[in-house]
Amino acid sequence: MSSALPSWLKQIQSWFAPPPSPTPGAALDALPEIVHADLLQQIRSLPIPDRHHQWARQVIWDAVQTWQQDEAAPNHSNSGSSLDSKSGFSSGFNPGSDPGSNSLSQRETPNHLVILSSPVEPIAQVLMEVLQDWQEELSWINPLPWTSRLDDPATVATTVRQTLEEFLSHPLSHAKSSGKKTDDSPSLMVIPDLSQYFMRCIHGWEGIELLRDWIVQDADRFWIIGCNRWTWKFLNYVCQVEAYFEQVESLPLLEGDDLENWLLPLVETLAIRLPKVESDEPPESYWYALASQSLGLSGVAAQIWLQSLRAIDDADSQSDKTYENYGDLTLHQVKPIASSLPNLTAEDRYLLHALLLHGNISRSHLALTLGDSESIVQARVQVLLRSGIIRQQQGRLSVNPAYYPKLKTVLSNNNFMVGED
Amino acid sequence: MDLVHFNPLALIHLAQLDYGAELSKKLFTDITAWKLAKAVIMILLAYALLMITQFSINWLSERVPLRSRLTVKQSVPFWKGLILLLLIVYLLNLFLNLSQSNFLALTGTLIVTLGFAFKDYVSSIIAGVVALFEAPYRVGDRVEISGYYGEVTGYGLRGIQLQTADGSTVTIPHSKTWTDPITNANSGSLEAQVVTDFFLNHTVEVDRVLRILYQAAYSSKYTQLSLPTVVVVQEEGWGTRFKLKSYPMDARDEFLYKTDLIRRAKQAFAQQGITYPKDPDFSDV
Repeated sequence: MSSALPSWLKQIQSWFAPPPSPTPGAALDALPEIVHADLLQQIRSLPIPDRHHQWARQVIWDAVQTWQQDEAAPNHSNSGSSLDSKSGFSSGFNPGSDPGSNSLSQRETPNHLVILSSPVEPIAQVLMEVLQDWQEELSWINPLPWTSRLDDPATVATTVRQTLEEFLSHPLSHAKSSGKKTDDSPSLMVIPDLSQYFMRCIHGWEGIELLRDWIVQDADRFWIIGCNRWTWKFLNYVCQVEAYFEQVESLPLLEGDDLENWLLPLVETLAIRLPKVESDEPPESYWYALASQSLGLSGVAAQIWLQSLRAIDDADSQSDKTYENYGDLTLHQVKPIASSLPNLTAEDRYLLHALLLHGNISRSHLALTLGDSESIVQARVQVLLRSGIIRQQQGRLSVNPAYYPKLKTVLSNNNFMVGED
Repeated sequence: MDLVHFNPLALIHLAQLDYGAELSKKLFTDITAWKLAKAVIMILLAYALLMITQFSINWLSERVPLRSRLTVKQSVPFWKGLILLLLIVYLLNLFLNLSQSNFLALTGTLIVTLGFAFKDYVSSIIAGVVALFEAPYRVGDRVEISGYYGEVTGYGLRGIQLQTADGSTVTIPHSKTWTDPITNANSGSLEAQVVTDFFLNHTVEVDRVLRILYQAAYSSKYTQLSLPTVVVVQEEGWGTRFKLKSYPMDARDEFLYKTDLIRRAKQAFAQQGITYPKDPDFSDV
């Protein structure tokens, strides 16, 4: 009966429902460090939620289909292409067309699709996982394959231009090196995360301006672009990207059911025992509470879920506490709550805003965008790392998603530009 | 003997004395030691309340989100006015029998007596009350009055306190609003436009400089992007003046913001070889 209720009503129920009851008399402890670290690793290895996968697949499919079927394009009738029965995508392409020359294409449909997400969502992973499904059937390529920002922002525009020009002159060799099928060179261009080609400094978005102009003129290829919503809003202010890109979609927010479907397999794989829910408690109240606290963002939900886990050690005190398969631990889920912020100074707010604007960024680049010396920035970074509000991975800093909901509110109340989730 | 015919002026004088004494008896209540003590206690209490109110509101304004800071600060004069009004009413009730005739007699005397002795002070008080409604300045505003520029940090009975850029506090009487023009940079808003001047050689490429200045403004962490950024170019005899007009998110960061803009722009000018005007040569004058 409860599953027939609309999702908004389930959400309201979750605010008032008590959390699942632990074993009476048992003391709940925080997770052991080793278990916490292992679960964190497991979360990072999770595939994207099904809802995102299905939505992105459908949106990309519809956009590319519409573009390919645009009968106004003479290229379409001359290419001899046909719809692939398995993937449904046309594999036709007219090599040798150069966006710099006057293209004969008269397509009226946009040749691009921009997918926006929150700064704490892995938009690049979403696009890559969806496109991997079509790996055999569809030729696509990332023409700008570098995965971290270039050291000198002044060289980004030049490097982007050179890379695109080289790509156009040797499209097949690029396709070969990426392992794609090469009987037709790719007509699908993918930029998984546009924010990696931008920095908030002088010359920092000239690469984006160049890419913007290139894509608009390059009517013979379809471009799929992923971007952080905050970055997109900034780019709209400084180089009016929304005037050029009309086909913009936002990654949908997840509900309780979506999060349950996404995270429960992890729990089952690791053989973590969860206590049975009492019969009078709505079983999905936890997941709807999690969706509410996390604003429907998978990255935030995963961190809040991890923080809501508590442990009861069932083993005797002499046993070796290695927790290899967590069989000695009974984990309980307490009510999920987004993490409270530590005390933030005005400089901390500028720093955190810069991190959310860029997604992830190195220390030196962060100092460059803030306009402060590296030593000053380093001091604040160390304090924030210790408090847990930011984290570091492979030399790059980013905001811990668990703090995102409250941090966004604080930044908005302090007059910062924030993206709308 | 008929007293009226004997000395009419004396009788009038006597009558006036009688009337004055009668009036005093009617106007003032019995002044006792306890009443005086109560009055002193209330004055001290009101003073303490004023101090606490000022301190609390200043403390609170720095703790609330930025968007609420000015709203909280601007309530200071109203709270102070309320406390003073209550004190005055209490004291008047304590010492005076405020019937209509008594009230008219009292105010008439006060107006004449105080008007001449304290005319400037009263003028400032009245100007302060008028300013509450006309709002030429409010607490938190960045204003320029009589050559002094700074943030309005206090709103008193007689004048305002301005905190200047070098940390000085200047007290300016409200009566200045009658005669002096008042420049208000933000009028209750968080943001106030900052104008940053750049002086470059006549031979610079204007388009390149404009591009750098716009990028400097957009890339500064202080910039409020939702408000317009404009660069205005003006030719001078010795060079070209570029005025970059933009808004920081918080008007308090005005000088840090300007510094950031100048630093970013000068770095870019140096990288691109953009030159500054030379000293004018007056040898042919």
